[in-house]
Amino acid sequence: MKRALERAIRIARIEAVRHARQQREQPWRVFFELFLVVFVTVVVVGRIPGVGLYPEPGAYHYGQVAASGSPGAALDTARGFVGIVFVIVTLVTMLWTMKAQDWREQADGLLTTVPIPTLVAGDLLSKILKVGRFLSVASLAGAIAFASGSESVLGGVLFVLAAFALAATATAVGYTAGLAGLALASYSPFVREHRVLVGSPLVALYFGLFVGSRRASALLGGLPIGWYADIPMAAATGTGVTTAIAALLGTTLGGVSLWWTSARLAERAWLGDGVAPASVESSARSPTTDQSPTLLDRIPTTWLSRPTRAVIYAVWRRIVRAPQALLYVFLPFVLLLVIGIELAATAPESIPVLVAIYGAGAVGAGATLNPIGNEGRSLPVTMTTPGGPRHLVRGYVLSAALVGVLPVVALVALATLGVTASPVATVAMGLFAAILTVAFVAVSVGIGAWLPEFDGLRPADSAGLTTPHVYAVFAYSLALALASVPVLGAILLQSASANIAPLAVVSGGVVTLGLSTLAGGLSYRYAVRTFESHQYGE
Amino acid sequence: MSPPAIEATDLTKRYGDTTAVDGLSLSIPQGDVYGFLGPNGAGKTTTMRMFTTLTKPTAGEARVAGQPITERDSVTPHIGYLPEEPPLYGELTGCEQLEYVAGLRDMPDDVATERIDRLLERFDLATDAGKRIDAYSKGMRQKVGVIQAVLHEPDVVFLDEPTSGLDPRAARTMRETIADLASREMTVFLSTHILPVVDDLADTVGVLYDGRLVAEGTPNGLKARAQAERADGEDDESLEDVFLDITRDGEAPDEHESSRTPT
Repeated sequence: MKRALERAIRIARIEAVRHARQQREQPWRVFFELFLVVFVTVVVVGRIPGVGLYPEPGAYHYGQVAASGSPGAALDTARGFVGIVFVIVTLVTMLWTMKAQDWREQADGLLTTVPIPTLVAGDLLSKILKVGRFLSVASLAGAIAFASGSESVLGGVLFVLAAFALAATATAVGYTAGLAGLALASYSPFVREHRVLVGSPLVALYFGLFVGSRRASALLGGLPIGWYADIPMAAATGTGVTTAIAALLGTTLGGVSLWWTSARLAERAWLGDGVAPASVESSARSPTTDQSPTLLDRIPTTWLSRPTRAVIYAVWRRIVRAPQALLYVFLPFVLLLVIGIELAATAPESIPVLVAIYGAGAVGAGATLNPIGNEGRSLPVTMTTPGGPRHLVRGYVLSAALVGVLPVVALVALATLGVTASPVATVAMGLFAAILTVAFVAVSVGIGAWLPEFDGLRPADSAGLTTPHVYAVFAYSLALALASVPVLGAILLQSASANIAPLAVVSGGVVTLGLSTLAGGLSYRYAVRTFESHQYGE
Repeated sequence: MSPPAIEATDLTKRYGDTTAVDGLSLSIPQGDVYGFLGPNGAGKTTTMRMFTTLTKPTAGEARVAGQPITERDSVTPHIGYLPEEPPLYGELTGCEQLEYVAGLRDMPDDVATERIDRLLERFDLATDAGKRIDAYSKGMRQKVGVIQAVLHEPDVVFLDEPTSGLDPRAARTMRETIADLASREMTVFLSTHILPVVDDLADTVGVLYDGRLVAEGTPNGLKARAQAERADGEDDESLEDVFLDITRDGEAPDEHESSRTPT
């Protein structure tokens, strides 16, 4: 047992070393991680009197409430918050386990070196450490805030314990669920091949939780996963001791049973015979003689060169066979749905603009958001082809724009007609949507070139189309949000005050278009330059 | 007299304090098969990446097909490259992959179709060309990678371990293909650890050790020289013996400068 534990710790330690070295090689990851750590810390600490950093109540406020001796409704809110954190950690770990990109490289080596339960323990431990590392700053800051608010040092100490127990249990649940997903996928070639896409509703849920967090928190706070909030509260108030102990016991017993379950599932997921991949396209070779021209082929080569066309076809074919690259395309629609329902009641005139922004954003959230990562092993081909980088970037942008512009324009036109029934406004909004879509796609190809995500650890290991890096999605969303501020700001101002002329909204739209087009142009040039100056293998 | 297909003068590549390639100078005539040997980590792949414009040299200069390697757009129309890992998209079929590269190279459809058909037949891939590449064996991927590298009939083709993962029949096809490419006046820069392949095919052999070209000559020239230097009078020196002699651990590369023999 002792030896197995030592081995598990060794596996986790090596994973931590690898992770640290990867971070060192990609400083931008550290930048984004720090940004998220700061954000989470601010949310956890919450409102502090005299410091106008964040308006919502957090650890300091709950500490004060605990000190009053009757937590009441505040405890319910804290439980809800803890429930949301639990679900987010679980879902992220689950997707992370199912994606398992850096796992394949060493899996065979480790599987033939240590028993599966030890390997699972090491793998799980490394994931707990990663989650713990991410949440550690927020936990410590939250503990200090809670201890200050409640004037209870023990409360602060138990806050850290609660945070660790929460992170460990949620990670273990997510890890087990991820392995269950992989084991299940081994029975179905479709699910195995498109497992990330199949898991996308969970990602949508994850984002949906942020959007509708108040409703979600009430629901999740009522479940036992919310009891982790009782641990520091129990120390400060003396109430809720039973549920606090139950939460800690749940972590211990749950941890052991989840590890045992994971080991069984891992055997199926990693060593099961599974099923043959659905790889055969046809029994004979795909005939090069079948050259029936498509609509795209009818465009003169002076407008659309043969190399660019080749890239467009290749991207389309690859996306059809590896739709996981479109994972983040669906997220804007989830956001659109929730926000759209609320806005329809308060500011219906903003709906066409929102449809245009989210539609355009969705079109750029596919393969264009990871052009270098999607090329991966094939980069030497692109780079040793005359004009390859230019054709490639152009091909990527057109592959998305050609498919995306029309549906977005149609949706925006429908939404506009629903709101105003004015043909002029409909045409104007259609034009707005078309330009915005192309501009956003160009923005996405630049951000994707800046923040690539590879299927393997190195470009040479990466042969397949993959989902964009989450930080690329984050940066892209931020860029879209900033570009949309003028038009959305003008609409909100108009809804709030009758004195704002409609011309202000039009001006806001023009500024948004100007910003997007400028950003798109710069991003496009940046992407081409990045490909042209890429030093393969360095 | 036509200019050399590949010409390098004091070509150097440093990564921080590490020198991967150190003052490489060589000249390879058009139509030659150049066997590029060296132990793991000697700098062979880095050299190939510099010649194929994938990475920039730190110092020195080189020309490939008469074009300076610092000008990617001038060099790339003339070269084909098969890296150690064949650069293929897993989601495409073998045939689609080749059509894609033909399109990227702006090859006319009829020419591309004829060449793809011919090369697929030659490499016994015609029946599997409609299957997705991620279902291919390593050898099949290697074959598609080679076809892709020579599809546009480049002046110079760089092959990094082209016989790696191939079964004996496919390896023979590969050797025949390389010989065929050379007979068409295509220059082949061949890096491999399979020394009999180099012995069979190469007009000239260069041995890279610790980033430096420590021996160069015809296979027979190198063997004869090594044989003459052997005190034991062994008369069946193989290229493998020569290679092991030259790249013996702990021996300073400078000692091998004299191994350079004229072609």
